[in-house]
Amino acid sequence: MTNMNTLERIKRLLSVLPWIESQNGPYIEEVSSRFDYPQKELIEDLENVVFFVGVYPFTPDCLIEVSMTEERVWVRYADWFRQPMKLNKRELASLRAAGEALIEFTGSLTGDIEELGPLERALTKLSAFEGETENLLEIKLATPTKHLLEVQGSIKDKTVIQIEYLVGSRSELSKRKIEPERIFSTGGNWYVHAYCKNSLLKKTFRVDRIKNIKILDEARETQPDDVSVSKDFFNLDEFPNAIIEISYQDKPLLDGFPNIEVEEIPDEKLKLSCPVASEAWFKHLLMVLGINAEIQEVPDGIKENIRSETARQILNIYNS
Amino acid sequence: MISALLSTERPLSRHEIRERIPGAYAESDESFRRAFERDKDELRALGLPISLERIPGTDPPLEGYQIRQSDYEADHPLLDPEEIAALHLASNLIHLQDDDIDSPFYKMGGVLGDKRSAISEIPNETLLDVCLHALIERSTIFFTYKNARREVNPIRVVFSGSNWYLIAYDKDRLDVRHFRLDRIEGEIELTLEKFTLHKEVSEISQEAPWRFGEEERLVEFKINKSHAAWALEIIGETAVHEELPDGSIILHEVVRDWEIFRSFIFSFLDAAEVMAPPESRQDIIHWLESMQ
Repeated sequence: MTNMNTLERIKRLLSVLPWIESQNGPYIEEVSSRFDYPQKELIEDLENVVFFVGVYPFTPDCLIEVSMTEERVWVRYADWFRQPMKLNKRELASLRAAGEALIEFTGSLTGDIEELGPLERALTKLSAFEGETENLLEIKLATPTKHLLEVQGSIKDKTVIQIEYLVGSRSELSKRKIEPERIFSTGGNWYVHAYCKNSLLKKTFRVDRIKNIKILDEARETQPDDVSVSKDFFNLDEFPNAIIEISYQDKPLLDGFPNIEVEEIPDEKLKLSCPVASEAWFKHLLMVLGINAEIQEVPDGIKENIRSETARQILNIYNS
Repeated sequence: MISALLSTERPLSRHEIRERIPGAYAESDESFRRAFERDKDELRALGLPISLERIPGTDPPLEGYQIRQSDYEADHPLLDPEEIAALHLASNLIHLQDDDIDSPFYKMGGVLGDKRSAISEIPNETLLDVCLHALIERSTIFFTYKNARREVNPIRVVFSGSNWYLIAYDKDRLDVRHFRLDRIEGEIELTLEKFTLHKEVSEISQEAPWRFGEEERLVEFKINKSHAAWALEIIGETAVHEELPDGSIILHEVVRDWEIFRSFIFSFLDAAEVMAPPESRQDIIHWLESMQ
């Protein structure tokens, strides 16, 4: 449950009151969980705030009446609060965009069609409400890649799979046994977060680099992490950091590197904090940024001359 | 204050409001005025539609405050619990960063059910709010893009790949154009001019980003066997021009933004080689030589 300040509590109460009034004495526990309203605060607010709310001339019929038993609550005479607040257009646009993106994504896979019924109905109602107009906001997720469906199937059926994975740094396919936990899309790519039985670590793999999938007849060794608490897909803090400075006008070169933290510094320059997930990733970044990028710090274990060495390696193929 | 403003049939002056909520405000007029202004601003920030209107029958005319039931009360269609839960799941799975997921759902009667972690966290963009505001209000906007001042009527805001785009009707070029929000220079200026929504919408395509641009060139490049499948996944089988005996492939690709394509080629490090046209091959060689 969230901690709320006074204003958030007022806003939440404006939704809670019409709902309680519309029900026949709902259980306090349900109100609390439905509106993410800590039970202690909810009872306090109903008893000490709402109970004294009324309108001029403050005769009993002009006061909100709240009655509570141990478990249930009733609200009466809250005529001017009989409806919750309007959904604003921004909220409607976000709801529709998320719903439509999910339908498009699920529709492009298969299997979960039966779950779409209520979502489609909800979107049809919202769209009709807005006069059948196209939504103002649209979210396009990355196009599902070939193996996404199989990875998703493994998450659902809790299977262990063997993948052939293209490792950029070694230009080769490596075989790994993984236990996929969840998929996500960012920066135009799909990723799978999984326990890797070869390295005994939880890692993130790019789905388009998976070349082959085989379902193994093995039981899983791990449980998925409690993902509701972790916000960060990549656990970027785990990676060593490189610091690079580039000129402001080179900013477009950072396209395709969504995880770099960019800070504006004096002299029309940008300071980049780059989580180095692999040497191959870092080499790619250096080649893209070119000679004008000033490398300030490289993580331990990476050679100081990595840029010139990589440039020479690639030049070799042009000179052969 | 909310109940006083909602229950009144005519706008109330500040002093009438003080009378109707006895004990809430100080006796001193100056501290009352400050406290009242602060409360009013905070309630407006919560989304309460407090309007300022002329109080009927006052001469000289006085203005007062009111919340009109029609501005306040929800009028969205009634969704059943299953539909609300499905919408809530979608909002959790595809989450717009910095957006309060739950607020609209409280207005719809709350939700029971687990929180799910997002499958896509959509990044926020500074100019997104002002674009949406312009769209909702149907306001013409001005901004600078590629060193030119543009006057446009927004049509839609789209997130694709890792970028936000504004699709808008460009009033000088008399055509629909796509603008990347992070490439808009400086601020977006809202005007008071209103427009009617343009019907024709060209889609933002999910195609590779180097296929958008002005100058077109056909690039021939070779990918080693080790990376061939990966390259095909991104570019598509139709680009294959030739398969070599060692398993490597020669691809042909139309490129309209060379800089983006060069970055893409470098993602293969020494497993890719640009063969033609000569100026593209030379550009790669110069670029690499400068770093040697």
